[in-house]
Amino acid sequence: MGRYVIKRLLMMVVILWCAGIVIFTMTYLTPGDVPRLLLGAQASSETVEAKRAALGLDKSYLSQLGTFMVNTFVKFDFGTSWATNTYIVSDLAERIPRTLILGLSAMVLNVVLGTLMGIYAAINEGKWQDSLVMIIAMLFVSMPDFFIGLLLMLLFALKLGVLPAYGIDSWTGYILPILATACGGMAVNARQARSSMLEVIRADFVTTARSKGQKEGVIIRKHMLPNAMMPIITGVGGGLAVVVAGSPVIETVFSIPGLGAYMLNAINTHDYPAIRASVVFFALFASCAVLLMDLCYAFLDPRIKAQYSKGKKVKDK
Amino acid sequence: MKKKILSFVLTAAMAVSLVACGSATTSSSESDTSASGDSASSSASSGEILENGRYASLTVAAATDLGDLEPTSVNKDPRYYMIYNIYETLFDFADDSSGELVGVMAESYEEVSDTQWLVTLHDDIYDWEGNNITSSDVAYSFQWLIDGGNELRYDYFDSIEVIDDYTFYINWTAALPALSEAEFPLTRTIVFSQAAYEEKGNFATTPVGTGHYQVTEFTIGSRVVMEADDDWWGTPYEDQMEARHQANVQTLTFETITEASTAVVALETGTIDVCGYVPLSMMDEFESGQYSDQYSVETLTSGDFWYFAPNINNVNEDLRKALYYALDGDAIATAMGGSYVAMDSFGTTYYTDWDDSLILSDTYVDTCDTDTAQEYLDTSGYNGETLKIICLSSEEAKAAAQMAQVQLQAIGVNTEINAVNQDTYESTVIPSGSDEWDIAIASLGGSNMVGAWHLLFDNEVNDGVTTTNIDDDQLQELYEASKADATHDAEHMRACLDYVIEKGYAYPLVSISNALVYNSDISEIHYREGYYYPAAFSFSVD
Repeated sequence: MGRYVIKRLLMMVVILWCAGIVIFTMTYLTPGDVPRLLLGAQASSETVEAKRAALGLDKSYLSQLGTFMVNTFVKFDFGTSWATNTYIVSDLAERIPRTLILGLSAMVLNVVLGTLMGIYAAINEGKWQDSLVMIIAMLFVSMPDFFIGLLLMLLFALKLGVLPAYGIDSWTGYILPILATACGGMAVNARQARSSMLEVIRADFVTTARSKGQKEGVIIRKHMLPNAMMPIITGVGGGLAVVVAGSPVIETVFSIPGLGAYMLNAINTHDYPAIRASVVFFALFASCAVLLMDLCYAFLDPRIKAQYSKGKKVKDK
Repeated sequence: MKKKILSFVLTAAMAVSLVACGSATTSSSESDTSASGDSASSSASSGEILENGRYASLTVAAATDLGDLEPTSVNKDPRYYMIYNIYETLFDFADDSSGELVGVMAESYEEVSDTQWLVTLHDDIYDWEGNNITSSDVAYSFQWLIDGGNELRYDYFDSIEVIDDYTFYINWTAALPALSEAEFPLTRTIVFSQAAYEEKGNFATTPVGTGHYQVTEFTIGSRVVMEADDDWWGTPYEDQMEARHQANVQTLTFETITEASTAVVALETGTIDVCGYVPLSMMDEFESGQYSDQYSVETLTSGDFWYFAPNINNVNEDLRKALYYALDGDAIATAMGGSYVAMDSFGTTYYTDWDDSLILSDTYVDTCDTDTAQEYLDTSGYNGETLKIICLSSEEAKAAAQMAQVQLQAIGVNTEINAVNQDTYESTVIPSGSDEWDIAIASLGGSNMVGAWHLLFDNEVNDGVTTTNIDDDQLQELYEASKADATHDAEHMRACLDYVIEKGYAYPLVSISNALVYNSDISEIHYREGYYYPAAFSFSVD
């Protein structure tokens, strides 16, 4: 198991390097005269050229790429923002916690509630409870998160006046964005959990457990749920990456100064160092999420765990 | 039991839906006490005038992320009106549009020669940390800007030559043809303390300014809070300065709310007092709807506008006029989005040199007439060839081009649209004599109308021809007369525009307008160069 983790960590390094090269090349090839865009139409050509040299944009592709890779992956230095002149590491350190609070809370909410809804629908298959849960899931999955966000804002901020419409002055500012982010994932998880549960609900081992007189709660918890969780976890891993990378919209709607809004602003201002740093962080986060997901597989599925154990024994011999 | 639970859940869901989606009937008092409670630090105005005569607290929505508080930020338009609260420059231009310089940090100046000015600083300028600002700080600030590659429009600036602590020379590379040529060095370059800057490392997040306001809280991407400084060095000179240096608000907060609909909700909940980017389509509820007793509304016109300009080499005068008479500016504005309005001149009320006499009534600018268009088309010799429209690849530009294409098709003019990026546009349109395009749809801007016309009517921009290949001495003469300090007036500008209309050189399409919504305690909005300065607003509290 340890070897597996080390192998995956080494693969993560390669993935991050690849992500770095890809995003650098994409931003390098993006059309537009960055110094001109940064300085505005009124800047003289001499000023623009001086800015180009100051940003290192007058150097060759390989030279720029090499500098970027060494600074990012060896020195862990993302440099300063072209648009704001602030240290990108400081910007990220300030913004990442807000994005993680938003993304992870929404993830926990949508996994827990979504899974419970799916289980409830599955064990009541064909009944009104099943239909109700699926209608709610259909509604949530059909509505874009920003639209849900605006509806929540109108209801809780404007009509009821119990939550702020925007900002992060207190923890209450996170409630509406978390709900808006969670709704879509909750619906997907509910549908996934229902489908997975239905697959195992008539399996032989479940019938055996019932015939042995086990209580329904125990059957669900100990026999059905672990077997139904595999596809849910797969979804969670991917969903986790999407939740963080997909934060720009919700952060913009609720004026949360997080990583998503930062990257969106960086794209608008052609602030390439900030874009590259954000993408590298997203790649790192996504890699960690996938690794975590794979470890959960091993934890939940004895067959996978046994596979690694067997490999170890063979080696021991 | 289950049915009861189901009934309860369904009833609750229905009630929630009705409350969320029903018509807005919340009273003003409810709005005032609503969400603001949970966001106390961003609460809107206190509605109170303090003993020092200042309005207690004002919260202004900002559409863009402030990003940083570096003293270069004046070059980035959206930050303009925020940054000037915390930093100062040597001079200002007078608010009365006379074009005269008014001293701010500079006490006086003397033109020693055509290329050298002797400037005297006030000797009692201090930044927030008590550093006295001297001539060497001025030299440092200018050089710092140049070293960072941010010295915009410094064409005539040569150097700062320090004489003593409070006097220095500004050396120009050549005699200034007009004071406006020195606008950036004199009125936009921020002066700060070298000692403070070197101590802090940068001012991006921890600025040390000399302005009337001190930054007390700054969260990048979220908020900047400023507090009026009772011990401001400029107080003894305040009545000699322009209005934007006033501090009529004690605590001034700028909240970054990039999404206009969120800003509208924030206005409705009373958490912000001023928002200058409410789409016109949402203006009614503040102007005449349920929030009209809490807010006042003004329409803000931007300094950017879009034009439709044929390539003079490829499109003759009759064909140009045929195209113009076929265009419907209102329809194009509608296609471009809720913030666009059709224009009635080559400029708007935004510009400092705007005058109502410049409205081009009863011309092709305000007339859409397909019969007249057809008459011009018949005499133009047009024989069905496809005209190439070039525009930027932005959604607005494409919408404008597509609507124009439909309108031109209605009189039988065939067009094809080529939507390109900025670089391609410039490399296609700007080269002198280029015939790879027939019609350009693009935008321009500036602080005054004549400045904005530079790209359209000035043949100095492109080797003796304009960007649309106009080579017309009479137009150049009229344009230069409009631009010269001595004759920069409505009469000369009108003469220039009349000639443009007579020759059919261009068509002003649309400008951008938004609603400025502000709380009713504000009795007067202070504008300067199209920006509003909340610190200089006037207040009237019952």
